[in-house]
Order: sequence, then structure tokens, then C-alpha cells
Amino acid sequence: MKTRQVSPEMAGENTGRLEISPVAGRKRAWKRFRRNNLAVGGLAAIAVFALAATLAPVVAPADPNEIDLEAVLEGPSGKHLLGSDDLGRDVLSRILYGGRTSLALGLVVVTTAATTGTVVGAVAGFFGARTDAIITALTDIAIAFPAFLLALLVLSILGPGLFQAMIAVGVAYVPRFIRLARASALGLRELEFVLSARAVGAGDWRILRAHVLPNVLGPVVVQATLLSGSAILIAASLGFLGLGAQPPVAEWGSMISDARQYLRQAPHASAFPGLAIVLVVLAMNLVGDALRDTLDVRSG
Amino acid sequence: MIQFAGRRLVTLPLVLLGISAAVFVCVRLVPGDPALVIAGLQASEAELVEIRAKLGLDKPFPAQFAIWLSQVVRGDLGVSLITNTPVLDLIKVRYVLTFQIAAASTVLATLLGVVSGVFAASRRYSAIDGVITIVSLLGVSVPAFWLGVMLMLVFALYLNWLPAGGADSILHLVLPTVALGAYSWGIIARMTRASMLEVLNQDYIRTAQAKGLAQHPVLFRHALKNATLPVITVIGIQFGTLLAGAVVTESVFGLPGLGALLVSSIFQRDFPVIQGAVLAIATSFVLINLFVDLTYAWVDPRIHY
Repeated sequence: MKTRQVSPEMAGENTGRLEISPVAGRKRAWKRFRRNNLAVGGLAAIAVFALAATLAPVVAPADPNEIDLEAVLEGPSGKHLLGSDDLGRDVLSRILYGGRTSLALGLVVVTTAATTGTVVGAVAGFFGARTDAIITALTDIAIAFPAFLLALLVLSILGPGLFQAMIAVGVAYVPRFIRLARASALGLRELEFVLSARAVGAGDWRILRAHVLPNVLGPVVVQATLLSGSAILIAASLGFLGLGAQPPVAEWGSMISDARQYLRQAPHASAFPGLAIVLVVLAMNLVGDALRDTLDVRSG
Repeated sequence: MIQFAGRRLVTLPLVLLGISAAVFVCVRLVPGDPALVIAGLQASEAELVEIRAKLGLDKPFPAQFAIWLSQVVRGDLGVSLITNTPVLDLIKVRYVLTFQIAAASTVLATLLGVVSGVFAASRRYSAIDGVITIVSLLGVSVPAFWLGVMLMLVFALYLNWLPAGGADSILHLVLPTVALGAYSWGIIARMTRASMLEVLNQDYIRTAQAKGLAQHPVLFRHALKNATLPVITVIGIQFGTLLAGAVVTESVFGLPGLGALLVSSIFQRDFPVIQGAVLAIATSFVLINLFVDLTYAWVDPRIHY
């Protein structure tokens, strides 16, 4: 039987921390999530987006790099559903292919950063002492930089490119996950179920794996979903500046940047990629919000 | 409170040292030999050795850092590799512009955000709450640069109400401020609303209402003060985010700010300038956050580290 001491949250204090009920409530949590129509819609939208981006070669109506100088900057038409850009390339196809870059940065990078950060943070919080001190010091320095600035700094070393941008965003986000996981692990370290596991003779690593990590997972998943949205925004900003995936690779941010000089005569070339970004990030925020509401014991 | 302030002030130099070290290391990590860049590929080995000695590159790493740090503290941020002008001069004027835009955006976002959040929370489930909730959600989902481009399209190109680029007058700063501030407004509005709703559910609010207090005093005397506490910490982070985010907005509107300098220096591999600009922004971020944390500790009577 898992028991817990009365946390400050239960006593009515708003500590700003997220209290997650133990793993046993997972099924109930999913049911609650399902009731939020917007969130389910968001989840569906993300699934559609991921599918469309992955299957872009199959789904796209045209080759995203096919230049057609006779059909430059045309508005939406039968041939180009969302119009064409300054080189006559089909905007819809480029948006679909551009989704792959966003997928890579929004989902792959954030998942990697979350996993790495969680393990490091949980270890730091759980073991304490010198390991914790070193990790905390490094993390504090990294968090002293705004995320976007850190990504820019990393890119100034690595140079522009999709892979480099992925590393840059990852570097910016890992410290935040470390901090989150560490805070959770610190809170869990003294709880009774951990103490009783020790009493039974469980070793440190087993406790970490079986008890600490599953309970740290809740806040991390919420944070990861919410950060996925901002990761895509950062990625698009980097692309807009020309520091992300290099031409001719389709990328939503760089598409908007390229179309800027033709803004008056062909606003669609800037508008549609931007709308794609908004829709995807919006979906992620909806899901993230719903996850937070679902998993937060306090608002239950 | 005094202890908390004291502790934070003591760790401040350590943090500043840390970020300087991080910037220094990052720039040194760039592949390539600066001596080669300066002297050209035809230079002889002797020339390269001489240049490296002049740049201090032959000294051990910690010594290089110490020398660089002492220069920075004295205001010598080095010289631009491209224009040969002192980095500090390049940064000074541009920093002011960027700081102004970031500050204006933060102030605007905070005022509007807190007001909208309180409004939405006090009229929960109403139409206005729905609108504010949706719009603030959109605010955090829209990329600032795209919002800037769209705003430019509507207000500058189609309606001709506001200028599209440059930085000659206050009017020029309106669109960038709005584009930049929208994200922060969204965050602050959402936080305030959530915080306010949580506070309004507390027992002490119900007590006040049971005592017969009218809606207004309840809201403002009791709820607001407590609800805005978590929002204060967010403001500091938002200011830093906006300082960094100004990078992109300046690119959209052609503003000669620090962000534009940073971007061009990244492309030109002008490392002294990159170093100086990043250091300026990061240091501002640290100082602003310190100020915000101290304010939070001062305002919240429960903090007693």
C-alpha cells in the first residue's frame, strides 16, 4: 500500500508545484483527458500532422523543390491549392515537407531532451551531495541564458543547418528538464514508500528505476508537451533567420522569410506556412494544458 | 527577507562568472584558427606563431579566461573582426533600442495580461472569459516574427496607418512591440487567470464573501494580491525571453538593434561581437531576474529562506 505524508499542497498551500498522484491513477487520468473535447481534437490534429509529414512523399501533390518559373507567386488555384512561391514551387507541398523539420525539432528533440534531462535530474535529486552540486551548478548557468539565446550561441559555434539546430534546441531544453526532474526527485526522496523500499533492502538504482522515475514522469510529460510547442516556435524563428535547415529544404520559418519581399503581391506565401505553425503549436498547447489539468491532483 | 536577499546577492557574481565562462568557452570551441583567419592561408608558420602570441592564444586556457575577464570588467570587449571598431561602441547604442522595445513589450504585456486574466477569472464561464481564454492560447501559439509580418501586411501595407520599417519615431516601435509582446501577454493572461481562479476558490475568499463584502473589495483586497505572486516570477523570465526574441523582430522590421547585430555577426563569424552581444543580453537577464526574485520575496510575507 503506497502512503504519503501530507504535502504542503494538501494542506491548502499553493506552492506552484505540480503534485502527481501515483501511477495507479493512469487509467482514470486517461478517462478525464478524454472528456476534454478540445484536447482530444488537439491530439488528433497532432496525429494527422505527424502522419502527413511522415508520409509527405506520398501525400504531397507536387515535388516541393520543383521550380516552375512560369507560375511564380500565384494565388491558390486548382493546380496549386495554397498557391506557389517566388520560384513557382507548390506551397502546399512545401508545407507538408516542412512539417518534417518541425517534427524533428518539436518531437524528436524534445523527447530526447526530456529523457536525458529526466535521468540526469532524477539522479541529481535522488543521490544529492557532490553529484547534485555539480549538476545544479551547470544547470543554473545554462538556465541563466534565455532559451533562444542559448540556441543562438550553440549555432554560432556549429554553424547553420538542420542537425545543428536540433542540437542547439536540445542544449537549450535539457537543463530545464534536469531542473524539473530534480525538484520532483527531491520531493520523493523522503516519502514513505521510498523509505519502506529501502527498509526491505532495495538498492539505490532499483528505487530510482522502480519508484522515483515513474513518479517524476508526470510533470515531465506535461512540460515536454508544452515545450514541444515552443520548440517548434524556436525552430521556426531559427529558420526565419536562416540558421536552420538550409535551402532548398522546405522549412516553415525560412518559407516565411523568403516570401517577405513579395508580401504585398503574394501574401499567401507568407500566410499559409505561418498558419501551419500556429495550428500545430496550438494543438500541442491544448494537449499540454489538458494533460496538466488531468494529472494535477490539486485541481481534481 | 534579508537573508534571502543576501544569499542571492552573494551568488550573483558566481552566476555572472558562470555565464561569462560559458560564453568564453563556446566561442573558443569554434573550429578554426583565428590566426589563420587574420593572416590568410599564405602566411608562414612564423607569422602565425607571432599572431597567436599577440592574441594571447599560446597561454594556458585559464590564463586566457582571466585576461579576457579582466578586460571585460574594464569595459574592453574587444574589437570587431569585420569592422575593427570596439565591440562596446557597437553594442551601446543598439542595446538601448532593443532594451526599450523589450521593456515596452513587457510592460504592455504585463498590464494587459494581468487585467485580462483577472477579468476572465472574475467572470468565469462567460463569453468574455471564453474569448480571453482562446485569444491568450493563440497568443502563445503564434510565432512572433510571423505575427510581425502579418501586422505589417495589414497595418502598414494595406491600411497605411503605421510605418513598416526603420526606427525614426515612436510610431515605428508600435508594431514590433505588439508583435513581440503578444506571446508574453498570452502567458501572463493565462497564468493570472489560473492563479486567480485558484485563489478565488480558497476558504478565505469564501469567508470574506460570507462576511458580506461586496465583489470588488473581495477581488482586489484579498484575491488579487495573492494571485499575482506567481505572475511576478514569470515577468522576469518573459523580459529575458523578449530581449532574446527581439533578435527576430528586429529582423522583421529592419530595426538597428542588438538582435540584428547578433544575427549578422553570427553569419559573419565575428566572434568578439557575438561574445559581447550574448554577454550583454545574458547579464541583463540575470540582473532582471534577481530584481524580480527580490521583489517577489519582499511582496510575499511567507518567504523566509
